[in-house]
Amino acid sequence: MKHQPNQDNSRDDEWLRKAAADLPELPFPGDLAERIRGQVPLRQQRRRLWRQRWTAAGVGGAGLALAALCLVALGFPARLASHGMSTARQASAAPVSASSASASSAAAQGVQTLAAANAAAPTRDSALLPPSQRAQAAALSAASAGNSGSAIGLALAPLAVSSLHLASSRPGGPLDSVSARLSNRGPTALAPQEVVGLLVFLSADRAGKASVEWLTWVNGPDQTLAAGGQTDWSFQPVGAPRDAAGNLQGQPVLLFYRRGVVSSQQADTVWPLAPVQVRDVRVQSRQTWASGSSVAVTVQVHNPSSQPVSVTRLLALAEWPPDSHGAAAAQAAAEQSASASAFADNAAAPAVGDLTGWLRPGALDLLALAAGPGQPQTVPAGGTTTLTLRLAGPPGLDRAGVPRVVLVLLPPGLSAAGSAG
Amino acid sequence: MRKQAPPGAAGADELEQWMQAYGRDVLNVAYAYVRNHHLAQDIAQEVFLRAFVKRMTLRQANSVRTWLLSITVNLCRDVLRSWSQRHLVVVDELPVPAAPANTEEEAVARLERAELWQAIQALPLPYREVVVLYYLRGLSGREVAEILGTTEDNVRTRLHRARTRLHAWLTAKGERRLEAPAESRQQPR
Repeated sequence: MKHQPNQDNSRDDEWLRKAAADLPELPFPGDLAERIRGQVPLRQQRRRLWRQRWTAAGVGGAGLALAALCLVALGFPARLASHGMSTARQASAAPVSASSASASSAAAQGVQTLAAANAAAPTRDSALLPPSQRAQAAALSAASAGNSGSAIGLALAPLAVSSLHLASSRPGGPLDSVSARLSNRGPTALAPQEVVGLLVFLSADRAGKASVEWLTWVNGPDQTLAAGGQTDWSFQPVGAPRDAAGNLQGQPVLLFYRRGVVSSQQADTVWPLAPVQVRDVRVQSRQTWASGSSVAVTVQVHNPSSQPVSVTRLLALAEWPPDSHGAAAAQAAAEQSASASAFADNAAAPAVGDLTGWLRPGALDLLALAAGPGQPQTVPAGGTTTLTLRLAGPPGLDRAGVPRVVLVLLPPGLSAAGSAG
Repeated sequence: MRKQAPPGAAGADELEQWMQAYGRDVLNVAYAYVRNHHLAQDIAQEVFLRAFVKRMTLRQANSVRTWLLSITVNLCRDVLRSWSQRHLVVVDELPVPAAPANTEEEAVARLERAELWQAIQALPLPYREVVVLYYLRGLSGREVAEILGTTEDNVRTRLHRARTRLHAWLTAKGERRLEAPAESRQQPR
């Protein structure tokens, strides 16, 4: 009997091996593999940024004095400066590149400023566009044009998009930019400040269900386009999903809207307000580089309804007032804390008129899917959850104060695939 | 300083191979720790992304599998230590859905119903992790030790104690006794 425990243990070992082999196993799902593939370029980018920061910290940190002494002694100051500049260029290589040298600095930073030039009700320019573009605009609507509820309504500009394709920004490089040909189908010239573009990357699962991978506002033509005129347009998206080789992933959709918000009845695309309350908006700096910066905007989202709200259907619009992101304002704000708070309310159900202030002249507007890694899946009924929106903008965005944030609904059949832009 | 591998097709191919060969290992080990399907998927995603970024360090490692599982175990331990995880409701406290929505949820539901799985989950973490790696993933004692950052002796001790506890748990449960097949009982070792 002395060895009984060991014998038991051996028998247990054998039984366990057999029983364990019979246990069900979780499959490694294809969509998880797809998700991982989609995150690879972002992780590579983050790794590169970290390495640049680490290098800078190594020079600028505790060893700064010693390093400077050594470098001066060795006659390397010029080389150090040169390295710093090339690093800055490398870090800023990702943001937007407009096709023309006259592209605005905002465009060069991957940020679009929306000027609502059309205070008067626009005519339905969409009638001048190909049916495919009207259909795309309608497909991006989460409500019919007749919906009278609170919503952000966008009216198509008479800019027809053709030859939309992915392209390389340098010979032999990955497909890292989007190019298209724009034609002004309207009866009058279109100035750059009159239009704003919406670039969406869509993906489809095996069943054919489409998801929004990423989206952003983009600038229109970089110069006034005469009636009947055409121009080439290109854009290099920052943060859009890419494969391991750096090629953009997903199907691009490009539409141009008249700047400003119109009523649902006049709109080609309608985004209803999500039935939630947005509270306690806070901003924290994430990264800065030579031509831009990024912030994490954290919001408390309360769902007062009795139904959970899916985060994958939420689209966040963040807007900084016109005077908040200028250099002077940024400098003044720099004296303040990097974290601040404000209040915005979705559920107060403001009238459409209350939303016309959105996309106003000079304001800085950014767009992001609410869903993404680390974000909750739903806002529970009666509950409150925290959403973090990662936004990239011009230099000083992190010091520009607190934006107002509104959450709108994507169409029921078109949810976020998981990454935010 | 070690150089980062340039992004490209070679790295992507490696990632594909790892996901295909060891995706299940990573996901199932993660699930055994956190018992939350979505969280386990998030962990698996992080494991492969970290491995991809640090793939140059892999070249000196003995085994891709043990390397990936080491990352998995460390991530899972971090998650279990976090406040949010300690306040999450584990899956067996949730009502079992009447009709699982997909094959993954179905597999989770079947696994959660298995008696042996329940017994393993009742083990303290130090015993549970060796049982999962050794019996469920079929790793050797040496590999388990490497993954957990301990000695083979320690693994053997933990396995012994885990078996004793499992025996007691399943016997006490009374629904199924932990027994060897009849033929092995007749041949004492």
